[in-house]
Amino acid sequence: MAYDSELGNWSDVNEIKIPELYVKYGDLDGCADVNELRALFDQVLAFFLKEVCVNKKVFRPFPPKLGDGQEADLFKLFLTIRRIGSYELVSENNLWEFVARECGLKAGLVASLKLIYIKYLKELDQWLLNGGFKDGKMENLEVSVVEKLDRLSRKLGRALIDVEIIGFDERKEKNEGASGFNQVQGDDDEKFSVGDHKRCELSPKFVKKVGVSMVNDEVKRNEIVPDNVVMKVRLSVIHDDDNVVKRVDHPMIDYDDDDDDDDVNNFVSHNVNTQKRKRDEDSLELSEMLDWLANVARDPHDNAYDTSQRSKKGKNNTTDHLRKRVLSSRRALFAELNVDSGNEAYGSQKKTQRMQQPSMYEDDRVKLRCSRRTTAAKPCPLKRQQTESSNIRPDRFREILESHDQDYNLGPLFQAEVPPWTGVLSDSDPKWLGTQMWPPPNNPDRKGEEGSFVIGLGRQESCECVFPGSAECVRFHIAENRLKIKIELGTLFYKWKFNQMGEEISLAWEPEEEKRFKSLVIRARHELAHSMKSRREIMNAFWRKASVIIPDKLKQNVVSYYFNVFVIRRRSYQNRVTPRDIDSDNDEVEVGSVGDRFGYEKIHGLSLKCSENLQCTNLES
Amino acid sequence: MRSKDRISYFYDGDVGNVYFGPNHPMKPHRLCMTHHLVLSYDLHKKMEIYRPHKAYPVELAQFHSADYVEFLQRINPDTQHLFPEEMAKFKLGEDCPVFDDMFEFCQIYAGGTIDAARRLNNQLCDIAINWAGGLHHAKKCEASGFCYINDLVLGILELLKYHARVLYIDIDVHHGDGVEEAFYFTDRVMTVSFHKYGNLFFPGSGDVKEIGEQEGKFYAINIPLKDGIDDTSFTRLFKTIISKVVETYQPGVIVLQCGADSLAGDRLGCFNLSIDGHAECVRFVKKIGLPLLVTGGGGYTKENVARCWTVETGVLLDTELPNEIPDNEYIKYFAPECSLRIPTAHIENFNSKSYLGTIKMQVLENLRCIQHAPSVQMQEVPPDYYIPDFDEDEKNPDERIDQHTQDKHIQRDDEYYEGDNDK
Repeated sequence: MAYDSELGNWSDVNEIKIPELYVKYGDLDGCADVNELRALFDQVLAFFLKEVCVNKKVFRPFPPKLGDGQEADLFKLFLTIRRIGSYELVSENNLWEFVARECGLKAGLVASLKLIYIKYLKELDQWLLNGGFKDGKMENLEVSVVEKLDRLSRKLGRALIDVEIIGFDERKEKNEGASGFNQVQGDDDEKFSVGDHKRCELSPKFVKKVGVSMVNDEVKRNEIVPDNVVMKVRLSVIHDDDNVVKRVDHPMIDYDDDDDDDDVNNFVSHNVNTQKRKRDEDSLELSEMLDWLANVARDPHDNAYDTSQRSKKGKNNTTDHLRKRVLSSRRALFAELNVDSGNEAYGSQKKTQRMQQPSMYEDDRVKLRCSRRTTAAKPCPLKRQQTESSNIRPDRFREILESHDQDYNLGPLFQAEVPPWTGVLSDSDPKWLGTQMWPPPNNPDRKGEEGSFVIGLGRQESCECVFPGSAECVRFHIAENRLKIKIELGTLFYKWKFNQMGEEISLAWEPEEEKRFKSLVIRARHELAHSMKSRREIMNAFWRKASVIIPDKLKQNVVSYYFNVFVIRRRSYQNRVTPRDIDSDNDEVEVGSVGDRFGYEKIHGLSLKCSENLQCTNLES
Repeated sequence: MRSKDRISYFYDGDVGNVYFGPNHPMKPHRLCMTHHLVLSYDLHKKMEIYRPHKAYPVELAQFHSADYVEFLQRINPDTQHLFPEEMAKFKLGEDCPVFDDMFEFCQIYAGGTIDAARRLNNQLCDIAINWAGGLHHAKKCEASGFCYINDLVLGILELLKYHARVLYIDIDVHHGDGVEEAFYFTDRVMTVSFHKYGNLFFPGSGDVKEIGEQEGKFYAINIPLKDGIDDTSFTRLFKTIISKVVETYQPGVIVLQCGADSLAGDRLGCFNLSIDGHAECVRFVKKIGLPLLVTGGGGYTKENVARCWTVETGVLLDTELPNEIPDNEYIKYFAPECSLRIPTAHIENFNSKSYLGTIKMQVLENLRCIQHAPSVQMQEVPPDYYIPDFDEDEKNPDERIDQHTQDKHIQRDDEYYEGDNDK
């Protein structure tokens, strides 16, 4: 599939250079649960902040903004910190810069990121740690929130593990084509092997240590045994069998090379070793280049770096190579800064890279409308899923080190064939110009005969109804206008399908059919939200069932009913009951309806009843 | 004031009853609502309304690859699982699901834009409107961002038969990447797109630095914007750039994509334009006085789309519409206020003055390169008499009516009552 091959290409370029980036992608996009988790997190956070604000009388604007005005992705921040351990741990180890990077932000935003964490998330984190609802302050929590919280903590734990599995699996698959990576595997003298089929059994332990990759850099530079550094990274989350997360505050793991008994430590060591190896190979050039640059900066007059003497030593071939690389890097870096293009932090997005991000169709199931608009987009080719994930910093170095010869899709596969302008008009087929519908071509004087009416008028301000503005008055005027249009349009009325517009089409539906339809919709929505079936399966099942239990209606009638009756009723309900939260475009909100079906009282001679409203649980003032 | 422009408006009753799937943001039903609202305001009396022909596969293949068109034609929801490779190759299934009557839907909206272009070419109207069109993401060999067939490219190709230079303007919140890509290497089409850019907003392209290549260098203009841009800054920027573009490029015809997802409160958009601000751009382009092809585009809060395009239809007809929406079948969608104007949101405008200034300077600088590049020859638009005069007798009376009849049909502003038409 093209999907896979795309990923393959992508990993070729991306993976080799900076492996840890992949994990970052994997964790957000690869995990099907992440969006659900995010929604849950948002809910809990919203609730929590509300409580905090009430209890402490402090104001926390939401969503919080970073120093440069962009909105912080609290979920991601929270998750990142959790994975490292805790706030204190991050601060102790100076990992804030890493956290910022992980969140796709510039290093310059570290301070505001930290502030946001303290203000918004620190307390939540501790609250969750303490078991949340047991806390005296929070006694009055609703049960539902407690449940959500439970789910959240559980999922947070699971996500950490899932993420690793997915990240790792995918990485492995993707790298099958990348020779560099395979080589690394081969060299690995530890028993642990990525390609091992036992991978899955091991995977729950793949609690990847955030910071490892960064630490590795230090390792390399400072020539410290990697394990000493790893000690600093505390294992923060351990997953036990029944999927309940406990946070184990390990004291600093005093890791020793000989200590092979501790599974976790062992794993960490494996991970670090493999990581290190990979990095050693993969990013050798990058680090070499940086080292070289640093050395030159320290001692610009050192002959070893003087290119004029390159012939003297064989080694200088490398030097020359590195030097070129530095120059090209500089060019790329500065070229990006030249124009303020609205994407300063992320560099320019190249087409090739853009289309290669995997994405999950399920993502938008749990989308929240607000987050959709405000948070940043995912580098995915899907338009409808713009929002869930946070800013992912594209790999700048990839662009720098890769020589991209072409930014744009060029060729007959992409461009239209535009003939050169000759000044001679080529043929524009006059045969197809559309069929005139209005004014009616065969009866051009028709409209002149009709009654007087002012053009472009709005709603009449007053009318002669007994109760102007009442439901009946409105209904009357709608019918009146409909009739007027009908007379005016004649047969066009049907060609333009005006006869299939409006709630009136529900008159052709039996109440029983309407009820069945509603139950079908509710069921489909439930499945969309909770089952693992694909959208296509659910929808096929939906239409199959619809044709069975509503046999009299064609598919197009059902669609028409949906837009003209079902959605309008939901909207009508929102208009009256939740006027502050109107959204007729979200198909996945609960369906409420007030009053009886259209025209019911006319047909049955009853007046509108006041019936108990069963749908709404949060009537706002 | 009398509207001198002859307006052709395209609509097909079948276009609205299409369902992309559950919770898919694209809802063609908005076209029904728009048409309904246009008629509720009696705007149809001032224009001619046409049903577009369904574009033939061979017409679609003037831009798209034949195998892609052929696949679109034969695929349906029940067979799609049999062609996983093609589905992936043509990028169908995610954003662009296969649904019932999908190909017919494409034929209708593409046919509308093609017909509109032909009517303009044949000087049968001054402004042509196809709200169903404007699906600017579709690529030559693949679907993208809810777009299957790129009707705009097809329309522009049609216009290129009669015009040396076509100007394409795009005010959808998303970058008009499909159109830009199709004409990236030609100077015969200048594409100007105003869109949200950054944070990997779909489709991810549209940096100010993407300016076209080879012969098309400097003939693709991108105005990347950030969240929350408001009426004042948007219209000011729009007017400055467009007037400079028109002055420099001297197009023979303009294509305007009016995606309504740049409005405040759109389900996918993030701008903060009011309908008046959006419509102001349309008004400005209309005032340029060139033949104009107006299409729809994005727009994912249905009722606002209907409001916006109705107002803009009014603008193109030189008719101010009163704020109170007349009672109609869909009035509940416009409740509770039932008014045309929507409030803008109270969100921050992240486009600082200096940012917009930088963008503007950059764009204007690129435009100057056109004037100064010696290799680029500006060709004169051929005078009108080159265009063949069609013999009135040859015309099919069903398709066209002569000027006299047209004048009679087009409602005037100063005639308030239809009865007066009789004389």
